[in-house]
Amino acid sequence: MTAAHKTVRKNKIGITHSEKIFYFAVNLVLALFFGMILLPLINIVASSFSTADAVGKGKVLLWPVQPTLEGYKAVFTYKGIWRAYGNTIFYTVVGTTMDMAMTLMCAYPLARRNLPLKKPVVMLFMFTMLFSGGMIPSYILMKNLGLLNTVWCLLLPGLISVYNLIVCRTFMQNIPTDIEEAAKIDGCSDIRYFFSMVLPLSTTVMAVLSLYYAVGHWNEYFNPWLYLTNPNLYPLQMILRTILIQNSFDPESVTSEEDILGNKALQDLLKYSLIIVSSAPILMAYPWVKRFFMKGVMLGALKG
Amino acid sequence: MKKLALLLTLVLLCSFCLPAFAEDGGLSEPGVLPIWTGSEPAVIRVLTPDNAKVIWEDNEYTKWIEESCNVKLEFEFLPVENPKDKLSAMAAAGELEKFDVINIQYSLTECGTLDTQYGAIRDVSDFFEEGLAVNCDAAVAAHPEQYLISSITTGEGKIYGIPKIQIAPQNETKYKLWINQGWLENLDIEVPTTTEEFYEMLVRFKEEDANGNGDPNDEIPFITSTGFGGTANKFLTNAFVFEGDGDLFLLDEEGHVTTSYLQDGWFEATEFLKKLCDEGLLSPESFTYNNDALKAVACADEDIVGVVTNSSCAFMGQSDTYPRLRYIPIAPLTGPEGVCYSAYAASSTQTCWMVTAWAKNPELCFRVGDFQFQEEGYLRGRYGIEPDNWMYVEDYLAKYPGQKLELLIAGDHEMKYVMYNDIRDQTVNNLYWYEHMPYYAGDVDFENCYVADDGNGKLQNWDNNGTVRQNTITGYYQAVKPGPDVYVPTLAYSAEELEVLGKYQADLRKYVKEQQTKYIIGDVSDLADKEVFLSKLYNELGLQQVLDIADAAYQRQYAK
Repeated sequence: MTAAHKTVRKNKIGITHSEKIFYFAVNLVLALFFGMILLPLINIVASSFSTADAVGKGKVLLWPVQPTLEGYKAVFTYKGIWRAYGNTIFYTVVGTTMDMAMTLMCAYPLARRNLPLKKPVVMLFMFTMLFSGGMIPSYILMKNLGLLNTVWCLLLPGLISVYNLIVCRTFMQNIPTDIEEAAKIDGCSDIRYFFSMVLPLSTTVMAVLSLYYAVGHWNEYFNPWLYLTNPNLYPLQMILRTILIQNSFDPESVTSEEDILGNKALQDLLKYSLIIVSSAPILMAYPWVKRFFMKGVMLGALKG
Repeated sequence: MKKLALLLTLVLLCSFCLPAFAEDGGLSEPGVLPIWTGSEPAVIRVLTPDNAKVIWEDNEYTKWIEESCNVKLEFEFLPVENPKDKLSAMAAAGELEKFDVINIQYSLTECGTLDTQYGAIRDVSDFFEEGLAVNCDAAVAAHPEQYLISSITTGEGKIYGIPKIQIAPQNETKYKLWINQGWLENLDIEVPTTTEEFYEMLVRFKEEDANGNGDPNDEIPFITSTGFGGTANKFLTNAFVFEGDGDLFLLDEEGHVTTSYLQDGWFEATEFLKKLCDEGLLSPESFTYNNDALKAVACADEDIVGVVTNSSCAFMGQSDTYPRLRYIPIAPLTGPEGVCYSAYAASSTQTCWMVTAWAKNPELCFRVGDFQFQEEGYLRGRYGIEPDNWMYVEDYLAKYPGQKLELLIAGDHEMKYVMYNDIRDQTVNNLYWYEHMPYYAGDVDFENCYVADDGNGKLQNWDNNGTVRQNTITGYYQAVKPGPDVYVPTLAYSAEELEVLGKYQADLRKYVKEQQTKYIIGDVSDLADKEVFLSKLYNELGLQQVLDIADAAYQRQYAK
């Protein structure tokens, strides 16, 4: 930024003194917040590249101490971690695609003004937000459907998130009806209208919801914990948790006290490496979706 | 076309019959291997917790079982995190029907839930009565003091599986006390053996310049933590009266269950601790510091701490480094009345290898579990394979003549094994199942040796003074563990008894601990008046009920 930009706005009206102070304060506060978020992240990255010893003694701040890949090596020696990575990518890609398809198909009719019985249907959806069967009944249901130990038990149960559905419906409701009338006059069918008009106009909400769904699938832990007994289907999070737990110790169960010491240092280091391993891909995906966030997600208020 | 159809039908029929043909054969006589005599191995479907460190395919321990017993183990896995919750969900959904065996460590209460609530596991006490558990029976005969089977038998006489016991000698006597060796040398003090000498030593630590830095006032004579084996109370109390863990039970002269905190010795010990605290010898922080806080003080560059308690000094740092090696452990002290115990809590037995109610061949499943309950199973399951991970002493000395071996845990056991390449240090391997197996440790851990001298005056495979120090001292603590005339082993209660205990047990434990701590550090405490303390125990906290139940359980299980 040049100095000219700082004192003169685009419309050439000069910035007053008090405004300068105001902007300075705003920037300062934002910078503080930015630091609060950034510094721990840098610390985690730095720790993950340091030695277990340095991490254990709390020597690492913002730069790796005795840089090494020790932690990552330890993580990747565990069996099944690559397969789990593959599984997670599969669940995330396929799952998000399916989720989006279902959510859009469901949200569009609900966004139409002329859908009969709209209220009771929405009520039914809302009901599931507040009440669920609980763990054991869900488990029994999955068992009776024959979904246990299949990829479907991770893809089907969360097919539609009602919260996301409502976000999507609200967005679609805001598409002016004039567009539909115009399209209809040009001879557009209902299906064509959905694919050629509604979807392109909903890219913002689609991007955002995809991110929600993708992050959900990426971090999914409880469903695989409950429904899988075959480690070949485990997603990444299951394996990472397993590694972390295996390296924490229960004093009652160790015979050699040296186990405690060795484990403690490595466990601290592993924690950091695991965080990076599990969140790096999502972190990298964020900037691509970020610009859609700027436009805002509408939950009901008039904005954007 | 018809012929083809006929052929297809025939093939189909044959394929249906095949498994039936494979089911030939039966079970051998008890104690004879292989247990399954069929031409094809019998399939046992096992549900077991997964482990990130174990490669289940081509696993040496699995192969050992399969080849010895002529069975085929097919695994499905519980998650590593909260496997028990998942197991409950599966039990509730009737999903356990698929399995013959559940291989997880469960306490008696947990087994009871699986049985009574879900009817999921089989009571195998009949198999024990029929003498099918040859290895278990032999183990009980060899180690009656470990109460291997009686401790996994319910009040009603049910047994839910094969036991697992992993003797952890260091943890059985976890309340160890460590003294700053340099300070003893600086002040020319002998290692204390009585509480009186211990007290005098602390006084000198406080008043004199024990660390030799010229300042006689920067010494902290005695500080402990709430870490594993950390409290100061246990070590010192046991010079007055035996006090273990948990409910603090012990046996009185008539062989009835009572608690340490009803004995005169306990009150004397508490007074002694209070005296230490009042005179500034024992830091009041001892009752709030955790290991990390203690480490910050005890491992500071300035050498300012005289005495700490902990199960191990491993929390201080690498085993061959200072400041960890500042501290040497001492043997339990003898009190004014000549009492000297270690705060002992026997390694507990849990149930492992449970046969489900739906097992196709429960007897076979049971015997395969029993098969693992032998020292060889433990050597393979805990230490790995001979000679990659361990060797017999004769073989070792034949290979490395001139080396001097010593028992890792001091005592009068025979030297039998040399362990190296600890499998638990390797991240991933296919040698064992890590922790869920019917272990029977026998004497193995007491018969382990280390190379005290490799001919050049050097420690070899247990290459660290810290560990050796640790294990040697464990031997001294084990030597003064309470005998069966004092010690109350794990008690098994019936469902009704548990209900009553549930009301009082936790509050009692908490109350005693709290009041004692408050009294020691000089806060207002019921212990200031013994009568108040006792009347609270009996009138409000149900001590009498707890003692009655515990005594009934003890007499039922252990009285001869």
